[in-house]
Amino acid sequence: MTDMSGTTVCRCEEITGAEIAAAIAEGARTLNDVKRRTRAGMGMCQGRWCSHAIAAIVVVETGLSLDALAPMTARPPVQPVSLGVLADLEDG
Amino acid sequence: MTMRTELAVVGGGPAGLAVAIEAARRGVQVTLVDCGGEPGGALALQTHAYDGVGLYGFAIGALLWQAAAAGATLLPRTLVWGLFEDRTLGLAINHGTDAERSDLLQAEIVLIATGAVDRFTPFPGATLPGVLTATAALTLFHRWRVRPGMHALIVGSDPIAARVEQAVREAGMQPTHVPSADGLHALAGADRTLATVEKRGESAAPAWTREQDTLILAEGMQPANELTRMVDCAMVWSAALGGHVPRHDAKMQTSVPGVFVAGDAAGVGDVGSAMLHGRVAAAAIADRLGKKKLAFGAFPVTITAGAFRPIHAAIWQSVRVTEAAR
Repeated sequence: MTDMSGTTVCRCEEITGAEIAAAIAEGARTLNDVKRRTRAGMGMCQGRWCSHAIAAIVVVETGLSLDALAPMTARPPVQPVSLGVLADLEDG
Repeated sequence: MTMRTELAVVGGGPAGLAVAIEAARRGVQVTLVDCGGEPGGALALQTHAYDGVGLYGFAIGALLWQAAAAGATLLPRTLVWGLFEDRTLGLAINHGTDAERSDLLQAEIVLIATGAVDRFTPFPGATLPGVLTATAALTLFHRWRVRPGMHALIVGSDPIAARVEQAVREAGMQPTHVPSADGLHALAGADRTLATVEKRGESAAPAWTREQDTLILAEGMQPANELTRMVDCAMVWSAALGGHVPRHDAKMQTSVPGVFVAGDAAGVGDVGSAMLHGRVAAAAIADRLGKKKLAFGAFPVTITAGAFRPIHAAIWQSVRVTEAAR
């Protein structure tokens, strides 16, 4: 795999391959670990652009296999919505 | 104000529409929610050629949408922003417009048919203008009739690459298609982005830089699986199916009771397999809800004989993979 240290991996939060490798060097072993340490996957696209590449870097840096890496936890909202949409909800 | 329905279908592409048509024919009360502004999901971005006859995807989408409207409640331009444990769906109606408003939909059964999104590996310069994924390029061509440049380098051997190349030619652009690329770089030129491909490995050819102002990445697709993950469906990794897919049985039910899946969200396939998955799921859902009504009449879209081989293989492939992972 090409060296991704200088490449933008998470476009929404502007996280490079080097930052992800650093998170792994500090102990990150899952996609959620990387997300919590770097914010990669927390932006507007919620990891759609970057999850695949983050997993590939984890595989290279740790030797874990792709099928052992669970996807990131998915939280609502699945796409950005205005606060008005959420405030609009009535109780019950 | 919470709406209620027997079956909520998330996604109005070929799978979701097939579910809505078949389930409604069997007497299920169906509400289908689609976030797009035109019918058919990914169909609106594609051209299909069966046995040499071209048929625009948006025509298939419109046909299916009409058929679904006959029996189901359809909510277009509505985003499902959340799916919760009790099978409540959070809706943003008229999403993306000034008339956007909120609602909840409580369903007895939910079927997720959210399709697929592009998958690609970032490279230096990937964020420069003119670098597009396959779906982004097809959206520009088919939805907006915009030509992103004049010289397109298409990288990738996924089936979607062929659709991209067709769209590029129809738009009057010059395509160059490379099945794979080692060492892909995009560079900012004087007035346009340039692409460099270095072929390593067996090829002794030197690196070349092309005056390509458009670089379209067609590596592959991955299931859009946010909603299945949100309700903690067990996920299985399958390279053949594009990534993490919700584990499901032969009737398309996931590991979460009452949550079904169909189409690319269950594993990346094609339109034929998406519709067949959908019909299998609809039959199982109708059965689950105790509906005894017999479905009458032919299914509204014909699929030519040539499509049956890939449908069969895709269905059994997905069931084998997910069953083996138990």
